[in-house]
Amino acid sequence: MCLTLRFKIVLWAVLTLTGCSHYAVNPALKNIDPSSGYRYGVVRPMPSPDKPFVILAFSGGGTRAAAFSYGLLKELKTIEYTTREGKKRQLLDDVEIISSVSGGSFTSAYYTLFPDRFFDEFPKQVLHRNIEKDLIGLLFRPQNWFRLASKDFSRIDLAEEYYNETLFQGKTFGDLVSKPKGNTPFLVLNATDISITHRFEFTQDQFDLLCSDLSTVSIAKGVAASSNFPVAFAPLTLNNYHQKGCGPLPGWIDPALSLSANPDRRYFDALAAMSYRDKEREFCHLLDGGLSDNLGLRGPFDAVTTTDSAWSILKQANLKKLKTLMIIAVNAKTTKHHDWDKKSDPPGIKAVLGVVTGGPMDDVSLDSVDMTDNHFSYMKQLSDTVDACNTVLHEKCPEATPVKNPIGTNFSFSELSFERVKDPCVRRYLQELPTSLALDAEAVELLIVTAAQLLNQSEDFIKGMQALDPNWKPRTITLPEHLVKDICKRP
Amino acid sequence: MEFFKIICPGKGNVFIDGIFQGESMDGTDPKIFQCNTGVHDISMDCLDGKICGEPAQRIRIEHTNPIFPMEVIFTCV
Repeated sequence: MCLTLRFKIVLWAVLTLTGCSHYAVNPALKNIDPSSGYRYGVVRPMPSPDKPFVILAFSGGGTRAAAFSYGLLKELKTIEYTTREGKKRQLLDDVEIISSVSGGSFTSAYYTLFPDRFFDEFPKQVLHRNIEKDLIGLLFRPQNWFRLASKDFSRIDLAEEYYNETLFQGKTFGDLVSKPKGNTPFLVLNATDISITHRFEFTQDQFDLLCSDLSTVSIAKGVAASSNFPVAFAPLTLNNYHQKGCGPLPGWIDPALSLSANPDRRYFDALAAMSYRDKEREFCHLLDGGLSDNLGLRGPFDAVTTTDSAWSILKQANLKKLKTLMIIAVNAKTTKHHDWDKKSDPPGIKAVLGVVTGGPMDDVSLDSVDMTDNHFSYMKQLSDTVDACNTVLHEKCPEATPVKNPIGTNFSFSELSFERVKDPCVRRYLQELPTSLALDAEAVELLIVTAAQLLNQSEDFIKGMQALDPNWKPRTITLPEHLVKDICKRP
Repeated sequence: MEFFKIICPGKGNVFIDGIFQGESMDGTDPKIFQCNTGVHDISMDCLDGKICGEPAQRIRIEHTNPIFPMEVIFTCV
C-alpha cells in the first residue's frame, strides 16, 4: 500500500514535471501598430545626412565569430573622425543597425542591451566562458531529463533558458524599446524558418506576420534561434496567431505576387511573407540563421536595394537622409584543409555531415558579399555616368540645364575575413579554428586584434573614412608577438 | 535600381506601396525617387489643401535609369 502510494506520488511528480515543461510562448498581438514595438523607426531617430549611416553584419561561427565581431566593435570605439563642423566623433556612435547570425548574435545582442558595460564584461561573460560545457552539463541534470521528455520542450529551450539567466539577464525586446531613442543600434537577429527555408528576423515587423507581440519575448530566444545549430539542437518553436487576426500584410506584398512582372527573388520573398497567414501554419520552427544567410548580410542588402524592407535604407535615400552609407561585414568563415582526396575510400558520416551543414552556408556567404559589393559598384557607376553626361552636356551646350543626379550617397563596403590576413601561419591558424561555443584565451585574443588590424588595412574602409574626413588615417596594428610565435611554432 | 518621378502640377507626399518616401518636388523640379524593379503601388497625397485626382497607380517599373526616370502622372484638384 505504502509502495503503491510512493509510486503514485513519483508518477504524479514525473507526469507533472514532464507535462508542465513547455517552451516560453510568444504572446499574441491584437492590432498591428507601426508606431510601437521593436521596429527601426521606433527605436532609432530619423537619420541625419550629416552623419555616416553605418551597418554592421556579424557572421556565424560560434565563439570564433563572437570574438571576431567583438574585435570590430572594440576597434570602432577607438576610431574618431572630424565632422564638417570640426567636432571629433566616434564611428561607433554612428552604428545604426547590427544584423547578425549565430555566434555573431551573442555579440550584437550583448552590445545592444548593455552598451555601457559591454567592453568590460563581454569577454568574461561570453568569450572566455565555456558555454558548450555548461550546455552539456544541463543535459546531465535529472530534472531536465523529465522536462526534455515533454514534446513541447527540447534542448534549444534549455539553451534559451541558460542564455536568458546567465548572459542576457532576462531582458526582452520590450526592454530595448524602452531605452532612450537612439541609445543603441537597431538589432536584427536572424534565424531560418525551416518550413520555407527563409530568413526570419526577430523584429516586430516580422512578428506582425505571425500576429505575435515581440515585446515580452526574451532576447535570449532570438539569440537561441539565431544560433540554433542543426542536429545539436532541435528547431525552436514560435506560435502563429494569424487566425485571431491583427491587421493587413505590408503593402508591397500584393504587387509583388506576380511572378512574370517581378524579379523572382521579390516574388518568393512575398510568398514567404504570405505563408505566415496560411490556414495550416499555426506554428513556425526556427533553426540557425546561417542556413539562409551565414553573414547576416541579406537583411541589410534588401534594406539598401529595396523599398520592400520594413527597415528600408533606400527609403532614407529617397528622404535625402543618406549621404554616406558604410557597411562592414565580419566574416568568421573558416577554410579547413582535408585529406579526403588522398584516399579512395569516401569520407565518413561526420565529415559528410560537416559538409552538408556548413558547405551551402559558405557558398551563399560568398554570393552575399559579391552582391553587396557589385551593387555598390553599380550605384557608383550610375552616379558617375550622370556626372559624365553633365560634363559633356556643359561642353557641347553650356546653356543647357544639367541633369539632376538622384544618387546622393557615397557607398563603402568592407569585409573582414581570415583570407585577408597577410601572415600565412596566422591565417592558417584562424582558418582552422573550430566552430564551437568554447575557445581558448589565446585564440580569442588573436581574433580580437586581427579584426582591428583587418579593419585598418581595408582599402574600402580607408576610402570610406577619408571621404568622411580627408585627414583620417588608419592605425598600424601589429599582432601580439608572443601569440604569433606560439602559433607559428606549431606543426 | 529603378528611378521614377511624379509629374503633377501640384506638390504632394509620395508613397511607394503605402510607405512615405518624401515630397514630389525637389525645389522647383520633380524629385527623382529610387525603388527596386517590379510592380509597385505609387500614390500621392496632395498638399496645399488639394485632393489627388487619381488613387494609387499600380505600375511596373523596370529598365529605367537616373537620366531618364519613369514619369508617373498625377493631378491635384
